[in-house]
Amino acid sequence: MSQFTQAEKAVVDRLASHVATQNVVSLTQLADECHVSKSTVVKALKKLGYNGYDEFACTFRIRSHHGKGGLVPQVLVVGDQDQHVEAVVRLLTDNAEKKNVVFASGEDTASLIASYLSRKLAFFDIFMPVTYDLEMVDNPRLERGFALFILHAGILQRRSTRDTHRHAGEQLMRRARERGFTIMTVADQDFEGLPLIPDLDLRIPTNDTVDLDLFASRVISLFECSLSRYAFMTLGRNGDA
Amino acid sequence: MAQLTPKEQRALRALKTAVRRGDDVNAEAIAAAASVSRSLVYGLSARMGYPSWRDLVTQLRYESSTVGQTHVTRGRTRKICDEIARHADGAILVRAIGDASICEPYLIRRLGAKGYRAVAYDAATMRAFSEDGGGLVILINESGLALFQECAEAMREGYETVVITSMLESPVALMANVAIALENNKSTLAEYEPNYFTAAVLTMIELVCSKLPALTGGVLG
Repeated sequence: MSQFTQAEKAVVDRLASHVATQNVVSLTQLADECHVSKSTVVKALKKLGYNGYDEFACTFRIRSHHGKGGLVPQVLVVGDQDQHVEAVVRLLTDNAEKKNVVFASGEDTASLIASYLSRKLAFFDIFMPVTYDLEMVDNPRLERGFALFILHAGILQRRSTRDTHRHAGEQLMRRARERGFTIMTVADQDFEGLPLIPDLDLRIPTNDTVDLDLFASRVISLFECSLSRYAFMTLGRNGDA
Repeated sequence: MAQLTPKEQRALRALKTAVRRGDDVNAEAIAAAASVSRSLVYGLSARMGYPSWRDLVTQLRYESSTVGQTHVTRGRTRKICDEIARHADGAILVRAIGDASICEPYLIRRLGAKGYRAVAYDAATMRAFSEDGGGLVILINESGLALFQECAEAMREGYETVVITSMLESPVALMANVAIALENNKSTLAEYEPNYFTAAVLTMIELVCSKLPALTGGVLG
């Protein structure tokens, strides 16, 4: 912490104690507690890598809720979770008013996830119908957005066809790429056989035990994080940044 | 059914407590115990969809005589496992609504793969299975405001009921035999915070099904 001033160090220490007790404080309250100005608090947060207090509070809320109850998997995606969430948010932001589709492959679990996401995104006026039809990506009147492919081998299929499973949406994925859609895949960590390199490829950790499949829980949690960040970036910033 | 106000919830709790203890139930005593007006207590039956105060009390007496109520915040997975295992020979009806609606086919599929007779809840199916001795009804709803009618009907037909919800004070949680509490995080769209209720239910389903013994005939059996 050598780059922090004494006042900023006090802010960081105070912040750490609040984080440890999962207590969200306002910018004004934090400044008062540390006997510093609000701008000093903001400077300290910027040195911690946040753009401002709002971004810190948003990140804190996401992370603090994530661990509660013990039923949401801690690791949602292979790799840097924050970076992946940011990538999904960018995808949503760039394509919010375009034509998007979601395709589910594998067992029923993927279809249920697709249904959940389609409904949830619609709350935010992002329309992403579930489809299995090539016509959905052929000559759309709206500008091409993204095509999301949820590829889940699942426990039952993984047992018998783990090495040979190929998703049914291969043709749709190729066609969507040809037509100019951005391709995003959300797949099991060990899923093989994609017909092309996706623009965004998220890999979901596969559980080691054969009878415990947390794919759906992880994917839904990942999108919940992303939607929270999306709302912060696009809906909640008016006047309070 | 309308959402019960905090006063009405308090009155319902007092009423259920009195019924469970076998006390003489009268509106004045309940009103005094809950620190609410007598008219609010009488109005409770209408708010909960019963034709009269007497009908509500009769229903609560019936439920109290069949099984006790358990609210579960710890050992949740084990509790659901126990309930399902106890009804392994009967029907398991599942109904989920709202954000968590995908949990209904998800749970049915997972239980079916293990050989349990799990089907989607509807009134006709529930009555048909009740002639074979009933079974278990699992209701999943984040707010606990919906599915009250289903819960009451199932209990009238002799089913035991488990509700998975975020609000133990909700009407369905107050009514069901077993209420499982999972934390949620409701927020406005503009200040949207991640809502992990559905994800938590799905995880719970996986944990439950991984612990349940497979019955003969199940795909994984």
